[in-house]
Amino acid sequence: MPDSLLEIQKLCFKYPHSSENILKGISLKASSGETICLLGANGCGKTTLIRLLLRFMSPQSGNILIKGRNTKDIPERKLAKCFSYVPQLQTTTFSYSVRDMVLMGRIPFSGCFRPYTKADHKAADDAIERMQLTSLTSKSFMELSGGQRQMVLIARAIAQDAPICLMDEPENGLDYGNQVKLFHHISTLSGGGMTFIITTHHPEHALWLSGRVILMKDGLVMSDGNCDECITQEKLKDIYGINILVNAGKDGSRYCRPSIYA
Amino acid sequence: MEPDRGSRGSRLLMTFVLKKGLIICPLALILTVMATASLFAGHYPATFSELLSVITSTGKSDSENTQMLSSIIFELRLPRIFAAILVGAALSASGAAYQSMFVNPLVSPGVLGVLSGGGVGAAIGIICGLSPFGIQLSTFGGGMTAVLGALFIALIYRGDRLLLLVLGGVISGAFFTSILSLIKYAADPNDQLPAITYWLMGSLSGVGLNDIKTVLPLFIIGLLVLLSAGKALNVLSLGEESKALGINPQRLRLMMIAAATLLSITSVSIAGIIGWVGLIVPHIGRMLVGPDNRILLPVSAILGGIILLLADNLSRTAFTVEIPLGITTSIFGIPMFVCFLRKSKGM
Repeated sequence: MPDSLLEIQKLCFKYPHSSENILKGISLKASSGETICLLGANGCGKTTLIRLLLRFMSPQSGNILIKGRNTKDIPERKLAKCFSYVPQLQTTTFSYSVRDMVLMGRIPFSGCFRPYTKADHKAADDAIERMQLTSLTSKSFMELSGGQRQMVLIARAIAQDAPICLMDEPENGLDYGNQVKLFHHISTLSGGGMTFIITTHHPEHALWLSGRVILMKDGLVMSDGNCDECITQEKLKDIYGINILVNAGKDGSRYCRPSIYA
Repeated sequence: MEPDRGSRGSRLLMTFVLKKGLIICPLALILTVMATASLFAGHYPATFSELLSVITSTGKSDSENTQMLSSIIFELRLPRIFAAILVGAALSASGAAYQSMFVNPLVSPGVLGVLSGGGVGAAIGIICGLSPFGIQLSTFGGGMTAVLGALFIALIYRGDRLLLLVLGGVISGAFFTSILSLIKYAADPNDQLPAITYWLMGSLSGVGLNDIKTVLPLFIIGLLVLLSAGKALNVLSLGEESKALGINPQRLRLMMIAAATLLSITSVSIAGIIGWVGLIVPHIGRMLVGPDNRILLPVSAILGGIILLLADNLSRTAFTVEIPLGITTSIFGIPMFVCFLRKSKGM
């Protein structure tokens, strides 16, 4: 059997001053082109999992393998060619231009001390064009709206050209319209072969993407499957502790509605 | 379609190089013109043509006046001009680098306690009656000890590394400031105390050609490392997110701290404490060219040279008695800083 693109084996993690493990043996596999939504209540370990994948922290036990190779043994620059990262909506202290922000996605290729090459400039420009940001290229990142800023960070992830893009609540702080646009872009890009692992607080987002869903509870995977299997009233009640009706519209598309509003 | 897309990369690269050149060349030209003009500035009574003939013929004439002029120009003014440019460039480039790596536009080259440490080193040197070169060495040693102290404090505790570094700098700076007060209290009030106080005000009046020769390699090493690290500083200034872009922030930050500290310590050891330049010049640079360190660092270095040269010329010519350079930079620097803070809305 060929190696999966990403394999997580029995990952356990505990924060230094905490008595309890936040991740209690997470195992999962991901292959190319999948979009995986991680859903779960606050504190269930979604963000911790993303941070461990990016090696912001080290797990107490367990392994993360990418194409069969343990990420512990992969140097920083090579790891950045495996994972790109789109954080929550953020502010930067220094307001770089859109082009400069996207170009930073090319650092794994040309390093910190050599100038960006022609190929780097071209890759950044292509990514900007793909995210339809060409008119904003020279604008300062902090002058952009939240939605535009997230698009710039996705463009940076495209320029980084890593097979797996990790997103930690990328919709946080975005208005509804921008959330729809963001997930539409993710859908389009995953069609092109990029793998996405996205943490989100909204089951609807998983329904929009209609990809794979992983429900997490208390540091464990509670359910893993396609969105029809995982986004159900029982499972959502189990992780969020409230009744959420999962209805089907006339066209067959499903949507969530908390029962108190039904 | 493909050839057009292929050439786009090189066109974008050329645009960047051209932009960098178009900003840096005029600034470098202004600095050169100012440096040359500064040779003519001073209190010694001499006409422009006399000075010009000495400068162009490098003092071949035997007349006493010409020899005097020649020694004033080449042994006093020239080293001082070089020193002002080097110290200005070093403080400004290290200030810009510290601001980026600490993700904080309000930090200055003294953030890790280098100024107080240098002050203690110099005061010990003065008390022990060391030669000027000995005082420079003890200043260097004092500054280095303070920075190592700050790094030690940051490394022994777990937590937010950046915050711990700034705290380490504050603790180390405060400790050395109190040691400096103790030394001043114990110093002989007739000669040692005034010498320490004068040193702390910062001045380039004692800098000779030999001093420049000694410190030049250190300035060059520090500046070369920082000027080649624009991309590294850009990515460090993103904070934790930088880890996802293929760098090891801790290792890279230590390297940048080493280069920036080398520059600030060397500056302190030859010029004493010159405040505000390292904080304000990077802000002026950002207003001119934006925050991209690939352009900001060379621009800050040249601007720093221009500004400190201007301040030093003012210090030595504005009044009949020379004012210490550190006082001039503070008097002009503080209102400028207030002004820039308002204009740049805190950026």
